[in-house]
Amino acid sequence: MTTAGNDTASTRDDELLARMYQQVIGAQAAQYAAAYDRGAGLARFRDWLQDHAVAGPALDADQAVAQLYSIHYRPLVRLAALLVRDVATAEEVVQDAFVAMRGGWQRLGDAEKALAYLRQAVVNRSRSVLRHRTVAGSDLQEVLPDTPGAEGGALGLLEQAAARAALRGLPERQREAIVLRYYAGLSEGEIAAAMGISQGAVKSHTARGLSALRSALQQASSQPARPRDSDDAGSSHD
Amino acid sequence: MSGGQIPKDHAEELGECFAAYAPGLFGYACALTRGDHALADDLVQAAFMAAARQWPTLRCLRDAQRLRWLHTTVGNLAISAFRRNEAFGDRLPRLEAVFRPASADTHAEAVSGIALQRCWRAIQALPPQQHAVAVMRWLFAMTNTQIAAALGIADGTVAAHLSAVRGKLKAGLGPYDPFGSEDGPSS
Repeated sequence: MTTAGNDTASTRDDELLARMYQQVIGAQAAQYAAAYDRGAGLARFRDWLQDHAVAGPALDADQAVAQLYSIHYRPLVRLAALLVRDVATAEEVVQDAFVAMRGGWQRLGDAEKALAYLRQAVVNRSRSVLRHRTVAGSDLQEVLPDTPGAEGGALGLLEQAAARAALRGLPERQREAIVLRYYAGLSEGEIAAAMGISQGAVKSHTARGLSALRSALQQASSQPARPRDSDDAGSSHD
Repeated sequence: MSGGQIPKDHAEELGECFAAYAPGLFGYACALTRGDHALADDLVQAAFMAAARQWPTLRCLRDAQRLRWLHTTVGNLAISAFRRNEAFGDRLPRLEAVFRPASADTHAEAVSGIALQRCWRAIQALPPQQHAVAVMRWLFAMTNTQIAAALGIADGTVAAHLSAVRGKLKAGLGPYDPFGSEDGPSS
């Protein structure tokens, strides 16, 4: 029986014990699951459901949420994808935001407020994803869902790729402001609400981001084909 | 949230979802509560009641996402059970000896099967509050402060429990680490 050692030793112990817990609990869970009486559990749940069921169609709130989902899910995923830079994570971010929004529906009450809430939740959740993601390998997939039609042409695609690369090089807040303004098409007021900052700060982030983008794009066109993927470690505080 | 009314078509979907996922969630809840079948059963029911209230959103999600939500919810409910249940301590001592020796083909499998059993026994022997603290720390990756807040105890108490549990579990693990860390036999 040991007393607690120094910090490094207990960190190593923590990793070991975390692995141990995952495996032991996982193995036990599998055994216990086999012993579950599904019929009895389902009967009990159905009883409860019956007590709480209504014959009619879904409630107003549910319809409103379903409608918000059908209209705004894809655009929000596209927005989140620009912020977190991969679609799978973006979908999770947006889905979590919808779950949270439905949970707070009583407080929100109408679709307009709900949409503002969703945008804010998406921005906040994207931020924490980025914070947690260890930069390390950073092979950022180019996986934005909608490619432009044929009329965009190769030149357009090239320009788009360059713009996206330049966008990635911006500090976090500037990138958010630009994405919300020019990709999501929000007004300054809406951006301020989504990012949780003042309209003045939105203006300055947007302006600084734009001029950084402009010079990055000029550089890219004067000396082509020079991918830079070390970014992101930059300043992100305001 | 008020006891919302569940439309009929949602109730049907919920029944299907229950049939698909309840056994796995029950197993998880049972492992978390160290074999308390009755409590685990309640946790699963409570998780699906919560799902019923969130169903308008959950039904839009993909299966994996929905399962992740249910899993997290069972974990959170277990934490509140840890907090509530002093009586939970009384139900525990019936440690079930449900360990069939792993049908081990290889030496490695036999070794890890034995190690898993030994660890499980060590986990079952922990006092209830130490078990709660250990699960929250090593399975749910919560910080000492979060654990203290969730259980309504002092930070220092959490640290003391953790250090006691660390000692016991390491003793339970035996002389070497079967869970894949780099350093070999340690003293």
